[in-house]
Amino acid sequence: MYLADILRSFRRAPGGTLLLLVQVGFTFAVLVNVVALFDSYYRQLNKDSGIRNEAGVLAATVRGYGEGWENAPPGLLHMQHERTKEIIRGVTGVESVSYAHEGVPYQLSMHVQNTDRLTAPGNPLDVVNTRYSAEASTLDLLGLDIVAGRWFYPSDVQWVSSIAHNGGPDIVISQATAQALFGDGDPIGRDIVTGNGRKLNVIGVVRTVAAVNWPPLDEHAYFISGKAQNNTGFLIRLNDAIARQPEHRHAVFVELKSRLEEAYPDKEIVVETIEGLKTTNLGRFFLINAIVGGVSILLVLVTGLGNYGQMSYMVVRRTRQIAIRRALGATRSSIFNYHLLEVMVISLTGIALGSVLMTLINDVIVNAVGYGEMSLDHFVLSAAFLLLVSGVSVVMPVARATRVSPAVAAQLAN
Amino acid sequence: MTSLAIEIAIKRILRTPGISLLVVGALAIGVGLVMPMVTLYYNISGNPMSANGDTTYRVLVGEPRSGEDSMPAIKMDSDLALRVMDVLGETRQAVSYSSFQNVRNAPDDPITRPMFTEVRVTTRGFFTMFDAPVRYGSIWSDVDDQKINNVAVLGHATNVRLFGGENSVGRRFRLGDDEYTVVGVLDRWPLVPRIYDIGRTGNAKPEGVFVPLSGFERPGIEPFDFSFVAGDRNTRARSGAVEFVTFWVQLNDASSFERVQKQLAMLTQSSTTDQPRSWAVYSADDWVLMSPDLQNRKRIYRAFILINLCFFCVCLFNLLSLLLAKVFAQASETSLLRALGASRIGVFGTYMLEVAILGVVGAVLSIFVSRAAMNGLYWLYVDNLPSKFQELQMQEGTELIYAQVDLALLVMTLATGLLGALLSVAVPALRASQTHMAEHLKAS
Repeated sequence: MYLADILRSFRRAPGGTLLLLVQVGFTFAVLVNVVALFDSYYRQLNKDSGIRNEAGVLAATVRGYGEGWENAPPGLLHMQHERTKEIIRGVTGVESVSYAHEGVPYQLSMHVQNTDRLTAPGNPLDVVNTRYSAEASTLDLLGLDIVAGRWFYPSDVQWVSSIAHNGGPDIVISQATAQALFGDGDPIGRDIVTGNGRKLNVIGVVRTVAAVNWPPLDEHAYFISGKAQNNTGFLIRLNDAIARQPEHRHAVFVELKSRLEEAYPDKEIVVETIEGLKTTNLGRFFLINAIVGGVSILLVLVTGLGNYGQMSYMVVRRTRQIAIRRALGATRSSIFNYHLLEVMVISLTGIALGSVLMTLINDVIVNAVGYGEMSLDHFVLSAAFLLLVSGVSVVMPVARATRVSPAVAAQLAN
Repeated sequence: MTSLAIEIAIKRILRTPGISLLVVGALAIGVGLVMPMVTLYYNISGNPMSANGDTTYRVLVGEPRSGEDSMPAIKMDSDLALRVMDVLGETRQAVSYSSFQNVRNAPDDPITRPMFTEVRVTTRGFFTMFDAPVRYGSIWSDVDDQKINNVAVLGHATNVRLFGGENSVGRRFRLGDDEYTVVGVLDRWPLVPRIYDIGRTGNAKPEGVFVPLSGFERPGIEPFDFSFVAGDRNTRARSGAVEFVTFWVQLNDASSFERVQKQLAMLTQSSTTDQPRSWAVYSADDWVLMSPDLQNRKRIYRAFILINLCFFCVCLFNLLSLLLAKVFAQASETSLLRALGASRIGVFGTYMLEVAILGVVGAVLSIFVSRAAMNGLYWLYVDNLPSKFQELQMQEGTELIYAQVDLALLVMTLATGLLGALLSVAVPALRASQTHMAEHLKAS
């Protein structure tokens, strides 16, 4: 019964209805896309990195400012790096340390180019991978799962002048890399060719490990055995009791930095948490989300206000009509329900029309930023939220409509 | 008549201050949120070179890139770059690559923290070709281009940081492991986009230090932005080579353009397997349109502009309904005006004028909103960069070079605000002009 009346009122005041429809449509189109972008971001942020208890892993960088110490004799350099390890181990709460010259998970570095194109004989595909240098202790430190083959033995790991050129020849690859290069075949014992033409031998596969690159390359990584003579990076595992408590973790962080700065006043010292690196690594996505998120909040507010204003205007214009209905026996709740239903019908129609624009915007966004594909969940969630906003924003004017007295009908008729 | 219309419009604005504020606010925020992205898009869309813009050409030689365009690789490996330099012989060239290094005063200054900066390793021709503004001293000599002499030209921000902005020609500083002597200092150089090497993010800035290329034999200055040689790995000969060199030439007439084309064609037509397979020459104007890095950045800005335009449209729809309500509420007054002799056009005009005035105020305010939004964006951008890049982005004089607003953008901002206001009031004003006098006069 209400529906036929609502349709008649649309015909009587098509302008106001159209304005509401279009507003809701535009808002919905943007809102779904923003929800999709946020969902993609949080999925990525919470994606399994393969690292056990990320909160317990720190990364330290100890880098010379160019006083030539990198060119010192190798033996002296090894002693220097071992000394740094000892300093780090001496900090209360540190469980283990390993060298990580070629990359720390999520760390965007400008000093080490640890991205490599891997190919497998017989497979025409080039797979871009993050290259991590590793020693025997790295497996336990990161808490990675080996799903095939084995990790490096201490005897596999040598001091080398360049990880990219002299590291290995044994490597451990992620399952995603194994899948891309060998499909369902067994990768253990197979050869892989690096971007600089080196042939390396796969000895193991880890379930997953976070790469430095952004999706879809975020699971493609490999570990190559070796300790770099010009090492600057260290991975640090805190003991679980410390890692569980943020204030203790922070204390270790501060002490570590201060011990290293004290030991090397002439070097650049950077200590970072894996969690912090992850956030920075996804900073580009955060920035995009912050911009569109801010706009969408304003958009929802403006649409809510628009609904409020439009409904207030409609109630004023319909005062006489409402009064007559009341005089003819309509209850307050029926007046309330009628107007609320009217807004819901308009909003639902707006959502349906906005779906076309939504698809267009999604194409543009995904094409531009490479993530944020929509799903039915995003559609339903956004539609429900917008209906709620529409409903809440018109409660006050609709309540005013219910207070129109039947006597007004007689007054206006005179 | 006009003064009367203005008087009526201003009285109406003052009589309904709430609605007037809403109109101004909606326009200021609506336009103010669209313009930052339009500004960023606009600033990377033009060729920034004024002096040699029509005679400067980007040279690409290499394997064809995979993907939709058939452009050769954007950068060359050093062996190939040396061959192209040799083949092009006497043509004026600017060959360069970028690196990241720590710089600090020499002898070691315990007070000044090392400064992280981007370094451009290049040839002497680079500075004249890209019209770099030299403030102190000069560019290094041709001899420095050939030999490994540790001389450098400093950018403005680096000179401020290392030497307090004074004339530092002849002073020494450390770059990575080595000591360099300053031979020249550049003035502020807001080159947007950084056309000579746009960079993957599309918003790179001119470097802090420039040093001679020295035949790619300068030790310790490793290239930063590189990729492995693209193409079919089974046929490429320089397996493992990395591409990091950008190559520009200056061609002052059609004959030299043809000569270079022939030379590049000959280079790529050889039957030996280690020859690159494709080449292309783009004018600076074309490069701004074709650069894949800029295309990517523009796609992102376009997406933001689309979303912000949706917001602006919703603001306008709201204004429209607000103004419709206002016209409805003022129907009696409009009828009175009509009864006193005001024409329909006159009534229409006063409403249009009223909102046009508000539109101009809103558009002016939108300039400030836009600036605030731009500063917020910049802060967010820098805050989300790795710590080293943060330092680089906040160097004095380079902070917001991608957010420069020129006269065209100012006019565009004002026009958008005014147009939006007029569009939103057109229908209400038309309704007002069609008010039935008798009905409303009777009602009032």
